[in-house]
Amino acid sequence: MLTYILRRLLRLIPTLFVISILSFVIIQLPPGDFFDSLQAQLAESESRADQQSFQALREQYHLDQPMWTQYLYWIGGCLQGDFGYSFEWRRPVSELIGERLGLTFILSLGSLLFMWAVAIPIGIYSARHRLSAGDYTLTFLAFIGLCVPNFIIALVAMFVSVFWFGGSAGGLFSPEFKYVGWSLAKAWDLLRHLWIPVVVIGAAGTATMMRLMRTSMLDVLDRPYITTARAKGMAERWVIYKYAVRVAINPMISIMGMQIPQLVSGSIIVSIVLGLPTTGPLFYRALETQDMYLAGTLLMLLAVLLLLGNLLADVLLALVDPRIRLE
Amino acid sequence: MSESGASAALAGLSTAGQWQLAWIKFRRNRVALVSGVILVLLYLMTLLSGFLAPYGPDHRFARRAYVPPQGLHLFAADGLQWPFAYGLTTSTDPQTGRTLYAGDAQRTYPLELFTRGDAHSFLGVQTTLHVFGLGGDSEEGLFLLGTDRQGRDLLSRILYGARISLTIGLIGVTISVVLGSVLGVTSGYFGGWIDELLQRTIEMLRAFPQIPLWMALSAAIPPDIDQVTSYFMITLILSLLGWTALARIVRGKVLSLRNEEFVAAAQLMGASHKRIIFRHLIPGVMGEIIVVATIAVPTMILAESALSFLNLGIRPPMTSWGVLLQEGRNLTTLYFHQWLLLPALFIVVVVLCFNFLGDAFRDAADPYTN
Amino acid sequence: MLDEAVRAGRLPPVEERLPPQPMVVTPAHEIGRYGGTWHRMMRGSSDFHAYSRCAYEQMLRWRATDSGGVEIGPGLVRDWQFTDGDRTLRLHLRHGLRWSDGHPFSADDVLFWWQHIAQDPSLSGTVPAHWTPDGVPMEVAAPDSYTVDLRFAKPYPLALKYLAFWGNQWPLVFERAGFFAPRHYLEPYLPGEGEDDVATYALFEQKANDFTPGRPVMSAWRVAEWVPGSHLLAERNPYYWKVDPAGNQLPYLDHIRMEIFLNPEMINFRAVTGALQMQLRHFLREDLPLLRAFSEERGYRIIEYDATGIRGIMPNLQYPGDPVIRELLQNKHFRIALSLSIDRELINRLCYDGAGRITPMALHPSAPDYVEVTDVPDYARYDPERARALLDSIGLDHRDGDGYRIGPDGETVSLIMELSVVEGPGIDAVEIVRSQWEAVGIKAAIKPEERTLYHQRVTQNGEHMIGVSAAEATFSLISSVRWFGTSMWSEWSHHWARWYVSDGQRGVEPPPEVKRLQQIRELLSVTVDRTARQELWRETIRNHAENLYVIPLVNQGSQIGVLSDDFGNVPEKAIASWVTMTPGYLNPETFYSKGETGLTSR
Repeated sequence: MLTYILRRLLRLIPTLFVISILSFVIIQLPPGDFFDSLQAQLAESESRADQQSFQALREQYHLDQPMWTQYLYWIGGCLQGDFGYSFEWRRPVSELIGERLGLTFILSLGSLLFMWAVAIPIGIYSARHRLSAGDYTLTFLAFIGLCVPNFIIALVAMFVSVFWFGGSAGGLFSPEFKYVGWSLAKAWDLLRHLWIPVVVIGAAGTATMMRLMRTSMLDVLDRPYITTARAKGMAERWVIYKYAVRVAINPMISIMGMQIPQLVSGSIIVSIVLGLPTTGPLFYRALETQDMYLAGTLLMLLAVLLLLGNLLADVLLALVDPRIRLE
Repeated sequence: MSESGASAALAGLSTAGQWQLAWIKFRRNRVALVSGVILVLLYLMTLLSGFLAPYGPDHRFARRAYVPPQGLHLFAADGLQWPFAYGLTTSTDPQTGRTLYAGDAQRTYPLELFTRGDAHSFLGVQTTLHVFGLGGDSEEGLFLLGTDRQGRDLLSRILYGARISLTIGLIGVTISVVLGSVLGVTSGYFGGWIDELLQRTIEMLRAFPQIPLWMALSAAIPPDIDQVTSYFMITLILSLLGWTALARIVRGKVLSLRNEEFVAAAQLMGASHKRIIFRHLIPGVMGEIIVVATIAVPTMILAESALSFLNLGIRPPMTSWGVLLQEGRNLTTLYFHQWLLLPALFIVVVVLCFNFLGDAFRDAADPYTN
Repeated sequence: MLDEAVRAGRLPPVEERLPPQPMVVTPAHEIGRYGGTWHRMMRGSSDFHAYSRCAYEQMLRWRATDSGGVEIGPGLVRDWQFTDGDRTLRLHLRHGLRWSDGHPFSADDVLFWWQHIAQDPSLSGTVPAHWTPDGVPMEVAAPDSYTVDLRFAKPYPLALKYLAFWGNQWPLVFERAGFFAPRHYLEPYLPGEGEDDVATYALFEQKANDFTPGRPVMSAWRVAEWVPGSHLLAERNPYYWKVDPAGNQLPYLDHIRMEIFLNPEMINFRAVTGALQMQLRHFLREDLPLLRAFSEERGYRIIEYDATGIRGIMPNLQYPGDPVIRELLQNKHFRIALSLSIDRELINRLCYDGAGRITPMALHPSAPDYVEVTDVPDYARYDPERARALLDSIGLDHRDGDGYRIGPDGETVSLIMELSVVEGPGIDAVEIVRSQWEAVGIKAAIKPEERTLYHQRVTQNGEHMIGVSAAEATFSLISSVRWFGTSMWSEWSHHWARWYVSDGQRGVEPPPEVKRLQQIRELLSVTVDRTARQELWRETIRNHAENLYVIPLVNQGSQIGVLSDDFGNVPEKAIASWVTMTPGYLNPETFYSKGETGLTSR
């Protein structure tokens, strides 16, 4: 097992390089650079900004060099932990991302928990009461969750939270708690705000998982050993939870590794709409202003996350299902 | 016994090919049938959008900004009548300063069928014919779904927006399918370094999470290029990631089919590679392709609307459902003008239908489910 | 708030912290109370203005006049004179002022800024252009600790405006135009001779940045916490050198808290929950009904400050692309016809809710040099008949198959308007203009462009046909870009400005009327006498009215904002301008929170 993981990790390295190159190229695609954008912005408010300052800054950050040179500077820095400088925020990229990574993960984990806590029981119920009114309703709801664009759900959620619950929405804290230290009250405030993005982000994934669970359960419930257990007079609840669910849940576990990176990138749009201090809005803004090191690093980071998630998924699958032999 | 005699003896039994079986199974799925019908209707509507929309997408009614949806009325003082709409009187809400609209039963405008209105072109022909519209003066309008900030009829804009939102999915998926099938089949059939190369490339592309990649690529589209080009660039971007999944599936299927006897037989008979691929392999993979493609369309539609909503995809003055929803991004709309979110309903319906359809296809093609 | 520190001996008592003759600032309404926090929002971490404007503190200062205009008054400088044929500006600093860390403030800090920062190419790029009139940098001398002499080659009355305007906007790297810097604090961090590694400069930058906690400032508040991406917290400056008429040290408010947001709707969310005390920045007019809907129950009201821009369509009068179009654009009657075919009332109603302002190129009443010019033609009216007649009369009387007018070369006249906004009333208005031009037979198209691209095409290359932008109507000398044809950023005079700036080497030679405008600008920048300036302005306005270089559109009438019911001393009427650093010029140090406890002596 360990050798498998190590081998996979090693194989990742060339992939990572190519990813970094691709990320860099993609980010560089828009014409002009950050300073062009800033200059235009200043021009609108008629501020004076002389060309020389811009030129000096361009030179300082190697923006006047050909792309492959810039890439080498950047990747060289990356290998030493320096992911470049954000022109907009005037801080090192690593700092910026580091600040927001924690919350991004909390959000994704929260969504993951939500998805599992909701989808599994509902999937089981749906499978047990197959083709009943409840099943149809739940399936329909699942489809809704899947098909309504998440940014719409986010908007509606915002609206609801402000006008029905009177609380301050958007962001993860109310103004009173935002700047003070941690306390029970602050944690509660966080939870109160967190449920909106968690539900919105998890909605689509919950729907998928629910249907998967249902299918998986249905598949298992048809198996001969279930019939045997029932014939032997075992209590139904026992049958379901001790045997069926245990087996049915295996495919779910295997996709769990994939879910976190999916949640992280899927949460981008929702984070933007809800104004959360996570990596999503950071990325969006970086794209808007051509803050290239920030955008490039984030893109690369997301890709790496996805790769690691894949690896995790494969490992989990192997762990959970002894029938799968790894080469 | 003659052949006809033998078949007559077996007349009591029916036979059916693989596709016929699938179709029968599909027909039994009511929901999918309904979805299919709805989709066909929607696409027809899109094709005829110029005729169906009462107005052009940029027809502004000067004093009719933010009108809530106005229905047609059937009853007047003297009973049942030909459908008509009320004229509107405006007033100002003292607290907020908003313009409020009230229907004025004294001024009625009958619904007109096959009326003349804004010019539009259909298949290259310019015409002013509209299926329905409102008679009477040009200051009043038929606002079945209300108007937006500039007094433009929302129904018309939704219909015109459908032109982009619905077709981008289809065209994008078509590109994905063609690209994915050809590459997948080639890779699976020829194997060797071609296969290796394709696998690596797919791995590379799949390593990128879709949404950020789409965002980054869309941000690279120069905003000053013309509408048609930008439409195609967006379509390309969306299809860029779609073909990988398809290619993998096709390749897998081809790998398993390659060893079937009928391929060996064809090769022995001297069939060219091309013939084998197109006559034999692709039809075998067709079922999977259709299923994946049907599921891919709603993903693309959702992606387009999300990107346009963020001002990264289709941008004004082009209209798509995502662009229409941009107006919904502000609190004022959520609070006062909720009808502007109706394009979301259309998106949901379309995506739902495609999902049901795709599900049904998958079930139909799979001989093991009952 | 500072009582405790005084009692503990960490801070000297207030009598010792104030200068012997503090500046007295009269609040707009009444004497305030100490305490409270001012909540505001900033959009993104580069939105420095959102905070800097509140901490507006410069050598001189804009202030409101009784008639609702603005004028320049004393700031750190208590009075000044022009001497030596108006070529030298002598500034008298107040005595005994201290930086926020207690260290004395003197002319030395000005010298430090000028000698070591403004003139150091690696710190400042180039010497700020406004201190280099005619290419000659000014000379700065300090005869004593509280006097500063600025010497120019020619009389430079504009210096006063720049001394009041370019506040301590350090955070925005490219506006390093603050006039002073704490020598005692920054000198140790100055990169030495020959030191050129990035880290040293980055350190200096960071220390000099007045958003960095611990950096001494002269404003009413100093930054206590700065977390980009999250918030900024500013606390009162214990050494602030202003008092109210009752002798209480200002500011009244203890803290300013800026919340950072990226989502533009955030500000509406906060406003409707009553969380903001006073803010105009970032509010859009279209959200007015929403803000009004909650104002009563959440305890705030809407304020509107006058906006001072003139939005206009600016044809590129030296359009290089097509000689036929260029000739047409240069034809005054063509421009007049275009102007007459625009129904501005309609635009006002549709795009600005009727609250817009229709004005030709003229000064806003709040301008310091305001003159009223009435005997000029008014082409900002709606007269499509006359427009058609004019177009017929200049040879555009033939139409093509689609009904559009044909130019002298037989081709359909086709105009393209470029602008850098993609949504909002700005572009909606231009759409309406397009349809109205088509109604009189001129084919027109609109090209919205990304800001960077617009800037590149228009201000760098001058390759656009028609641009759409705004001119400043109050402080038209400071931001004179679109008035005098001397700036290459001006949509209508790019190539003429190039000629002017390069002394005739490049660009296109302007016609005499424009040359006169360019000359007027030079005159204005050296004329001190007010009457003479007004005469020059009168001539300028007349020139614009007759020649219509800029086809005026409709302007936003006002900038809306929210004001909490229990936030005091905020004037109901004012000007919203970046020049006056609104709300900076309204003396935010006198704003106070009514719910707080009363005055305490410290």
